Amino acid sequence: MQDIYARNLLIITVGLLLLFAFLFAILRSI
Amino acid sequence: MSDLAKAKLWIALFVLVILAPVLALFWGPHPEGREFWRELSAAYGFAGLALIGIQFIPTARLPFLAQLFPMDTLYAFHHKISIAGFTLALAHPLLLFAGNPYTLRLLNLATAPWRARAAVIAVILFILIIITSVWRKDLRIRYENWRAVHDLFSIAAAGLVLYHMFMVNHYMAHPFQRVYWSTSAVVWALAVIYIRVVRPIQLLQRPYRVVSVQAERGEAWTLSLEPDGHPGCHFMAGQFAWLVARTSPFSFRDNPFSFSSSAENKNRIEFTIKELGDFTATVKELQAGERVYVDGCYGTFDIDQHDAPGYVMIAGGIGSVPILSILRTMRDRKDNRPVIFFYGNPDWEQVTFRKDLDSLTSQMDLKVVHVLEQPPDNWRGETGFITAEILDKHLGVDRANWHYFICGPIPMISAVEKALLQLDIPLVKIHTENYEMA
Repeated sequence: MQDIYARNLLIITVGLLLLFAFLFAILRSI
Repeated sequence: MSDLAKAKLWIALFVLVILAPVLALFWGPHPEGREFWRELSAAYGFAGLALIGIQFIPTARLPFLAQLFPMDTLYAFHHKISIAGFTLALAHPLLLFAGNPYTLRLLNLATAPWRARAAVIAVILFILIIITSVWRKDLRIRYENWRAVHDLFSIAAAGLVLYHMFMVNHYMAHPFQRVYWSTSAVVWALAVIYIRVVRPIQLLQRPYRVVSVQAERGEAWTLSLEPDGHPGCHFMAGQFAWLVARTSPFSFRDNPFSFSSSAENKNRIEFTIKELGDFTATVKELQAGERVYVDGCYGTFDIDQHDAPGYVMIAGGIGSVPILSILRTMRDRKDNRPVIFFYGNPDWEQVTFRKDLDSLTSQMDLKVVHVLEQPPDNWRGETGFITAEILDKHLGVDRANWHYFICGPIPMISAVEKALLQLDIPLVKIHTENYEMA
């Protein structure tokens, strides 16, 4: 059970990081 | 505040701490904007180090975290997040090189500035850390040597990356980033000091003495210990501790083992340890009166935190140790709630605690379902592995209200977890502990 939660947390955290990094790069380069 | 609320708060704090440096990048005033790939590269660098740096926390055995999260989950999290962090951190130079091949000259250690040299050395260290961790057994690196190298390389790599960031000083010139990364470095250092200095000193002040070492079925040994000059540790049934024997608590040679004794027996603690090589082979050589150290208690694999009308215990091989502790504790407390124990083993001769389980069935409401891979000729019980069919056959109608505790090797835990989900057991009622965590 805990492993499933840990995996979801990892996916969400890394997903948000990728998203924000991408948004930032777009905003800064236009 | 309930433990669940506290756990949620820590998770929220974790997400916030990780996202903070990337979100702060949006926060002006800014240096002049650069091309897309370069900006993306910078953001990945910040994201990567945020994930890597926090890794000093889950493995520091901090009591307030160990109480809320299962230790094997913290370790699993450490393994996965580290790889994710390294991948992001590696994307930082790769994007930089792809966007502007001229920057490849930074790889030339002879001519590159120190800020680039530091980053290149850090990446090499991270690669070595990952290789030696993932393939430690294949590379035949002794556990304690690996631990020493792992610690040293991690600290060096984190230091080098921080040096790199402060020296590049682009987005790092922002006061938030300076405060964030300086504070982070202090927190990482405190976590290392806690686990490597403070905790060993505490252990030295609370030694234990070996009372006896007794052979069990299945090449296992039960080690009985008594506290020496202190009240001892009050563990909860199902928990485990790190054991240090024939060496100093400052060494890297401590190994996690589950308690097998009743939590109601405050004066004596017992561990049952299977002989698997490395440290486990020396357990049988321990002599009565020898001094050992016990770093515990850890783990959330216990019934006290999960009240239920009945329990199902499922173990593979030596995974039965924490379950025996739970059963013995229930017997001593005269807890009459029903328990069904599914116990998988290769063959009948190797069933550790076979006799103990026989006597426990007469002392409490316990039903043991032995499942043997290679049963003897006259065997009438279950055979093969613990499957959904076997579970279904023995579980009662009230099964969805009971709590389930699974302990064993990872493939067995995954298979049983799937089987329980097939039987519509709610996920929140399934608790697992794998004994190959670190």
